[in-house]
Amino acid sequence: MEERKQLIKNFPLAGRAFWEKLTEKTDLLEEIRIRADKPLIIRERNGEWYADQEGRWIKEPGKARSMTYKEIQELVDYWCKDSRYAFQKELKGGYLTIRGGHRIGLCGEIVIGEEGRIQTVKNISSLNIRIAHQCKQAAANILPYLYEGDRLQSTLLISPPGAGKTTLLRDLIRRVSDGNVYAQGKVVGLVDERGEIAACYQGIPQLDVGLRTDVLDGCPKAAGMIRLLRSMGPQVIAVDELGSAKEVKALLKLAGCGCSILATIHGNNMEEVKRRRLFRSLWEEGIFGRILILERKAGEFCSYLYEEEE
Amino acid sequence: MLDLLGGVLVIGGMTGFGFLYLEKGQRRVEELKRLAYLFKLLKSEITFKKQPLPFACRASGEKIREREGRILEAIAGDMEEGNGMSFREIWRSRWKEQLQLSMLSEYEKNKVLEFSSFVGYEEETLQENMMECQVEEFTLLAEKVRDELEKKKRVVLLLSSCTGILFVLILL
Repeated sequence: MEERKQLIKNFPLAGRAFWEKLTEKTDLLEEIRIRADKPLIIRERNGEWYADQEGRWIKEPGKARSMTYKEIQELVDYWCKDSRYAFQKELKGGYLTIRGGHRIGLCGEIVIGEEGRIQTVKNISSLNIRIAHQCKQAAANILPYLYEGDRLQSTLLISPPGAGKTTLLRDLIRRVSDGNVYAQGKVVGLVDERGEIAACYQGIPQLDVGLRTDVLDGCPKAAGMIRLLRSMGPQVIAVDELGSAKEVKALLKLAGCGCSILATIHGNNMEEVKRRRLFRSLWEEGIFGRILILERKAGEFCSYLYEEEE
Repeated sequence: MLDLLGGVLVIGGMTGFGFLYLEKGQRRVEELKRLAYLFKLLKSEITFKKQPLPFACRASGEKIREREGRILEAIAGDMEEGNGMSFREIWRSRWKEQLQLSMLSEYEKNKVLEFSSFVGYEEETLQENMMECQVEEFTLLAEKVRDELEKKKRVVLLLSSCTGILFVLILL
């Protein structure tokens, strides 16, 4: 109920009755897709629906409501608080995070600036409102394997896209931060470069990442890790999607400072990741005490600990 | 004796009206200066912290002790509440309410309300420039009203005293 109240506050007053009706089944809702002058589409766990003029879920596209280009701009202006200049980084990155941790994907015409870089997006004509749902059981089964005594082992999660690594990492961070049957709560520093883990809104995490977690939102990972180490005294540092030499270098520095590390890498399996030269030093230095491989099979998430064959 | 006393009171009273007129003018000048300062603070919040307007209002409101500070804080509060109104709508509605008690002229009041039409820029430089225009506008208005008051001061006091004397003569 509280979740729904928070969600509704994200929509302008004019048309709020429509959004209230549409979001009645918040628990099932995954995405709301809005395209200029096309039927509004609702994606939920069990399939797709359209929305009629009152916000009711229907199956007939002919009766569905569509939003105009002007209405889309008004929505974006509302989310940006009539201050688009303050959200340029997010607009450039193609997303906005709103109250409640929900993310809005934006699509339109890209403006290319100097040196061929993306400057901003204009004429936004498509929106993808992804409704955030926190899964607080994701890490329950793997947690026992990550501790030796009361010390959290540095853990690497290897996962292809869509297998749930962000969900798992978030729950892991929360459990480590709050404390659990294996150890007391630890001070966790989280570098959330893309805002996907804590989903900060106005600097405040909208998703539960634990009592003792400090979040650096929107910060490049390499700089963020060092900054946290110097200023926040973390016992654990968490980063998502390692992918550059700078980030690996920063990680090696952290490991020498007594911090436990929770990190994720894109990959299908250990062998594939090991072949990449970028991560060679991680194996050579023995940074990670635990390596977890994530997979998605038949719609279910599963994970297993990697053990080196002797 | 009583006539003399009455005469003094009438002249004093009419002169008092003159002072009241000048004092209202002075308060108008102060209000215009405060508005210039308000937009200056808003501009600095945008320039240095890249704050969205509601946050700029909150931060600036905390630095202004007078009524204008409370208005900015109320605007920020309304936005945080998520009542569905846009920043433009909330700005207009909060200021409209408060400007009824103000000494400003209609033109000056409209200048304050019209700021809501100059938001929503994608580039911060444009938004800063808009703020800068408001700062300059209100600074110039304050100077203009102050100069006018200076010029009118003697005339107003003289007229009000003379009116008092006239009333005394008529009554006598």
